[in-house]
Amino acid sequence: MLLSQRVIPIKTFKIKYILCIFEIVILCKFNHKFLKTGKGIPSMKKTINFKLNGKPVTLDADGGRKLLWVLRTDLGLTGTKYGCGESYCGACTVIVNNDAVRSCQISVQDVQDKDVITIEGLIKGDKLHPLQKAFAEHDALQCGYCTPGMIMSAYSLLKKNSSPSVREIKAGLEDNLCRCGAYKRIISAVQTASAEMKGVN
Amino acid sequence: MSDKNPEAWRNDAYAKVTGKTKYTDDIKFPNMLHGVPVYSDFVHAKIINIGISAASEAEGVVKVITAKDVPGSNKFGQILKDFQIFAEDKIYYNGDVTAFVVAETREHAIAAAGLVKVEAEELPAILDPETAMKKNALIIHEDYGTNIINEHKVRRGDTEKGFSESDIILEEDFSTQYIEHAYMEPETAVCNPRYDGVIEVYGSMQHPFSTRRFVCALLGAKLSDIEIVGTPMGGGFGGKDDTAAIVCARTALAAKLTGRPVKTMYKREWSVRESYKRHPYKVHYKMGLTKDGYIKAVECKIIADGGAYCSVTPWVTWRSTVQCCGPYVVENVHCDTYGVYTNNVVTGAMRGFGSPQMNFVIESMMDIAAGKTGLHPVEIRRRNMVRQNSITITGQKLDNHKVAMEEVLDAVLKEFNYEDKYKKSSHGVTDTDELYGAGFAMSYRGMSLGAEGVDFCSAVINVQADGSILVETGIHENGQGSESAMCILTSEQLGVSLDKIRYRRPSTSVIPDGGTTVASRGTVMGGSAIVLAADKLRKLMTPFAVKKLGCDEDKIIFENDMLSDPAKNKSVKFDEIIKEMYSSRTYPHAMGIFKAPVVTWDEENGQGNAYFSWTYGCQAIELTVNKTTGKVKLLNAIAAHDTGKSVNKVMTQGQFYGGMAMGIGYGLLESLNQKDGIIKSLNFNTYRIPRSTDLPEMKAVIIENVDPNSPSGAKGIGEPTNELMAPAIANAVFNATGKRYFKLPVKITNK
Ligand code: FES
Ligand code: FES
Repeated sequence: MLLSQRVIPIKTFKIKYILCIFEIVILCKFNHKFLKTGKGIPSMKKTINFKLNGKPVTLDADGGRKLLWVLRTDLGLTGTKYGCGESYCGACTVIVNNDAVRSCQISVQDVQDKDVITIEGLIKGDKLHPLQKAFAEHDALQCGYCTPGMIMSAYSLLKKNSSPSVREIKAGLEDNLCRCGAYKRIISAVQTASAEMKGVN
Repeated sequence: MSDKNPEAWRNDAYAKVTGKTKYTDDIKFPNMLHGVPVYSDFVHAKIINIGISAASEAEGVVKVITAKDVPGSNKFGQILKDFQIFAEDKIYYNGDVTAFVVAETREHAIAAAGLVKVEAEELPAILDPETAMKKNALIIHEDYGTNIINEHKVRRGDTEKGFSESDIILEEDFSTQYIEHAYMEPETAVCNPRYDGVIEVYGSMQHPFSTRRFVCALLGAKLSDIEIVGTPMGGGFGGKDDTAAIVCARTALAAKLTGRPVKTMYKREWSVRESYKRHPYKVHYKMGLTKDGYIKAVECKIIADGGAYCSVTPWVTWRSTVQCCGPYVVENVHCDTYGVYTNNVVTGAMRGFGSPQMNFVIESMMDIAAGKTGLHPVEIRRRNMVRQNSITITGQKLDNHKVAMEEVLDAVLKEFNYEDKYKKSSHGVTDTDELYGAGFAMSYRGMSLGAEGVDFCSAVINVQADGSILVETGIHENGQGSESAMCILTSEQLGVSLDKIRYRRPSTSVIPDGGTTVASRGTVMGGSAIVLAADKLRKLMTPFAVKKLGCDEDKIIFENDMLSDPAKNKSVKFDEIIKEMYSSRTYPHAMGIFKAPVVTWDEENGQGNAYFSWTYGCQAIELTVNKTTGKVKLLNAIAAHDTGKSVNKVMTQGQFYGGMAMGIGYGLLESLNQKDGIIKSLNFNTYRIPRSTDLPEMKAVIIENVDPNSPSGAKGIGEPTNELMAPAIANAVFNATGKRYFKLPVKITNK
């Protein structure tokens, strides 16, 4: 499906805006169809296999359903959050094969045979991931609603660049919104985690 | 977490970094239905019919609710009962909900929502508050008789005389924009009808008690029939009051009518469309000064667009009125403030509550005045600012707390090296591409509700048989860390370690109504109630320690999980005393009630002791403006605030940074695109809030003058930190470009 193939995150505001208009048009079309018939939701059940937080998962689901809702509703993993549903806020960020992906945009059929990590998958036993530890220690949150998405984006950032500069961290997290404005401490937390993770390696 | 050093401790950090926190949408019940609101295309219209038959028959739909199904009163509100929960006779704004579809799944409900048909006769939409105020204007709420929701005034001295004694008279017009709260978690509610007939409500709302009033009104229920359970919230910022309570009320009605649990989770677009915003203001401001820069008179007219419903417009505009001259002594003041109905989106409480708008005006005026008198912007403020024992424009003598205006100003000047930065400002002239400027702004702010409402709150400390402690207050955790603050205060007060203490999330059926968690009053009110409860508890425990240690009552201190008499070097464990109390049939249980000191207000003249205490703040920023593109780059910013006693410095600083970030959004980035009463910027692609890359380096300076007016000694800090960045930016932009901007957000034009 067209929508789900979008590469996420999209870097610039402008492009995002154009894409979004494009998307609204498509969505309107779909909506229109539902509205007319009132018949509700088309359903194409499919068997989908993927790895979730290290464990194999097999699902019988409508393949076009967005991963966000499959995680939250079908699988009960509520750590991944809905903030905008349109790829703008980052609250729904998860890792798919090492890339940070907006789970509100990707269909569950697109993670077939892939490796998905959510916030629930970062903790090992009762040992917090260095990013989780650093976020708590730096008080890098207030309401905490953006935190899972923020940590997952930072996780992918550190996978790609183990010692990012402040500027690189800011740029890497640019598309993750935090209305409580905890950015300053989020950046420090990512620095601390990066140092700790290097120490371990 | 094992690390329970109060310097960086919050009781919810572990759950939040692991994704375990259960926000409202994370809660589910078996057999749960889903509710979805239905809007219409209208902005102002007379309803002819709301057709629900097609929607009712759609697949998966259980019920479609309209105003006809309301057993209680469909109209409610905190001040005026004008907020219609389901559109009935008229559509008052584009966010009015005409029907509520309840279905087996959310997808079914959304699909069916498109089948509801609203027929209505369009009325002319009144979109400009000044038009709405005109004598012959169409009345929006006919039974109210006028479009003017409220008026406030200040009458002090004789402005005519003041202006005649002035050497310089300045007169300017300012305007500010709507602000969307943009809490990351949209409105959500889950309601569960219990077997005993009570409906339990979990919701993303910031005021459980106020929410309960809305739910009870709609359902025609008694307060004891509804239990609102405090639920972790993904941000509120003042925005999860009326409209969030209404989402809970509709959901509760659906639960009542279907007899099943119901969840409503708002899409971002619905949230932006329906929820109330910060008021846009139009302000005409006239100021007279002597050539030495002393303010002789101020005359101002403030018009706030209240949108379709009253909400808390009278309270918001009251604060603007009381603080209409900023932290300056002015003997002759004439201020008229109007809150006005329009058919625009509703406006109500938002972090700052009427002060961000006025601070932009006043602090711009002060810099303009500095320019006209040739005085330094710091000097002109020093000449006029409030000091110890000053009398405010409403006649309140500032003598019951430390007036820290100059202290916070000096802190900013020193810590920011302000003078050097200010001198470097380009004033429109530069050899490079970048114009540079530094600017600052300052304010004072009345604490808590003031004459806005009845101000009291309770706390309960309930020690268990093993010495562990349960604490609760009538204050709701909005994400600001108030639960942690309450735990830390309890630990300090009883001399026990933090890991003994658990905060019991309040339910409206357990703790008495503590008022709303607004006006930065959480720590002041709830914290004070904790201090009073702890005091009672210590008095209960002391006789047992006296018996055990054989020492005098007044010698006992509570420290390190012990009760001791240091002089005699004797001590007994806290837990042991508790055990002792239980075996002698005494509960170590205490309730503290804090009543805010009484304030006075004379509406006729706008005079009185408006607030029981005041807090003081100053913020500065340096920035560059690109000569060709007009792009603003923020470099460094600083905030100094008198926080009263800071219960947890790390969390307090967090409030500073968050407030500054939001203030930057207000000053530079955010504007809601509303055309003809219809909001176009419905999501984050078009409503731009600050991002990691937008923010400057930030510094927080905490000035701790313990407030003698409340047992906790704290002063609210959530709002003051959010009310100064916009004027500081406007002043810095002026110092960079030489151009003054009278409108928010500051948009650089023709360089
Ligand atoms: S919910 Fe997916 S990016 Fe906002
Ligand atoms: S902590 Fe509240 S949105 Fe980031």
